[in-house]
Amino acid sequence: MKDEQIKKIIEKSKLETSDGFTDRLMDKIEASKSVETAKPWGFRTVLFAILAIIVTISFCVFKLSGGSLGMNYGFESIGFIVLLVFIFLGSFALNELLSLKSLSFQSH
Amino acid sequence: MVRRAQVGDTTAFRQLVETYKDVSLSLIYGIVKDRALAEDILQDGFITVYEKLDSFKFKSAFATWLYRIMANKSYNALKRQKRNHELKQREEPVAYSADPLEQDQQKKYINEALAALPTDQALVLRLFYLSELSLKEVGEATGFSKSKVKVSLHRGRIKLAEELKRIMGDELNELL
Repeated sequence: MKDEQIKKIIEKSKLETSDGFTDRLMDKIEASKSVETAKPWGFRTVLFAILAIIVTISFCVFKLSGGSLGMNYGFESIGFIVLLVFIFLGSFALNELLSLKSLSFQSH
Repeated sequence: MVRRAQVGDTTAFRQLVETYKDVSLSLIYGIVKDRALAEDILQDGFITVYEKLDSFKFKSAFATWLYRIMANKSYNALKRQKRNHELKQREEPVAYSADPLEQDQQKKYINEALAALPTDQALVLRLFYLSELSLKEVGEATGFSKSKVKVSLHRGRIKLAEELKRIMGDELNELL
């Protein structure tokens, strides 16, 4: 059988999607898009907001307590600057972990 | 069209769907051999394409990238089906007859002949002749080596001719 004949035959085998397939698909895509835009407060946003509030409050407490490098509220053994560094490092590490997790979900 | 779809133009994406849906459905059907399941996979495949459109960097033809996604999804569905022991026997009449769109007798015979081919051969034949991909692109879309593509194409052609002759007999001459 010649190449052109095979091509002609296989072209005849082409199937067609059911009526309204594209409309149903686009509706589904539009619906998933609207769900995505309807949740502006993601877990990460909330987490960073909480961390920012903690850092701000800690800073205020630090200033109000006279600006000493040692904390007077149960954190005597930890220097305030060290505490801040740990908070920032922790938040960065968490951010990286969440990014890796979302990347692995995308690749699946 | 692809670039417009990448920036969120849903009309452009709709055009892409319209362009590739029928050939994609034929490819998927060739693998899973179940019409309803094929259409579900097609829908799921296009949703994945939409979600991953940003990651398409034009290093290959869009069609190759899209067909690869569709083929992967089909093979995964097939594996799931096999695991669940729901795979229909090849001898069992497949879903053609239930579909009013496939009443055309010749189309039915051709699809029967293609269904009798090993899945890889039928997929390569469809990608080469129906999607009009080059041998290299067929390799990219399937993940097969160039030699496997060539062998599948060669054997697929011979087997298809044999199956058509078996199914159609003298009617085959009318088809050619």
